[in-house]
Amino acid sequence: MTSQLGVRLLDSEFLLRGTAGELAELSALTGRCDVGADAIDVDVTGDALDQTLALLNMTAVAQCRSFAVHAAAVLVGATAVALPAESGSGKSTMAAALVREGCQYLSDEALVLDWDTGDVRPYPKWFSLSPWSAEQVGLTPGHGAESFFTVEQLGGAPAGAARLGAVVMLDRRTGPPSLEALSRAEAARLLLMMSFNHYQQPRRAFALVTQVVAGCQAWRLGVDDPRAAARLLVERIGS
Amino acid sequence: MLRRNPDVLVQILDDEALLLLPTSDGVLHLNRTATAFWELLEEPQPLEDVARQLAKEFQVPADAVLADLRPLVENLVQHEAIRRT
Repeated sequence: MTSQLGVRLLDSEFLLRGTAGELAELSALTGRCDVGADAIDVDVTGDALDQTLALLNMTAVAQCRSFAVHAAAVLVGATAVALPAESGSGKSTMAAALVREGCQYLSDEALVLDWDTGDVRPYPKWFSLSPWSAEQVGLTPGHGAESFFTVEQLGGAPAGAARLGAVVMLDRRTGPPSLEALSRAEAARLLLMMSFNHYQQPRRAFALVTQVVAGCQAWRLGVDDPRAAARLLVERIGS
Repeated sequence: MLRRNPDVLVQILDDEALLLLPTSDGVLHLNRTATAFWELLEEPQPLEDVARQLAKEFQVPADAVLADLRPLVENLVQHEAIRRT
């Protein structure tokens, strides 16, 4: 018997159809809500959980009506911190480690900035963590290549809209964590290069990013142990 | 003579320029020396004249500045941020 689940992610609504068991597993990660008649209809019957979640995330980011950057983001105290980086560079692990250090969660996937105000829109999607990453933040990984967790499972909470206050470039290296000043021009370049949709309105994106970054701190964070790096970042930015 | 491409969008953050390139929509980040070079091109002028001004500003030999500027100029020309006329 087919059941239905309404899900909203950023500017996209989905109506998922599948078995009760499949939808229960999904809703534990995505939440559920009422959706309109224009919701995207997706039959997930028989699909693997990771494939469905990847489809939902990719669609939500692609259809986002705000400026979106491939980045993790958290709230350190009152400061929204973005960690722009490519896939596989440790964004989700750092976001999870920062939540473990008491930061509120904005996203492990996309820094979303309102085109008009520059405010950060939360995209607090489920965490996708490799077994190594899950262990680093004290979670028990599942059997697959990735395990999925909610921010609540990490002992944290989602943040509301915020102003961006810092851009942090991740630098994987061995040894103790380090934090070095980064030029704001380099931070702005990084946000633009990591953007999902800068190409749609390049001049507007350029103006938005340079304006927002002009009011930000910018750092290069040397990361070996994610928890140690998270503690250092919270100490420096939260103080 | 070197001149800026007027279609390039520029923002200076902490004395470093960020250029939005008109053809590729790519972004170029200039360090402080390269930014000083860019700012001197507010008025079109020969490379040698720019080198002389930078040499005076940074108190280094003009020949050395000229040698350092050549690859920067090639890069900026290649990205159509500046033009030779």
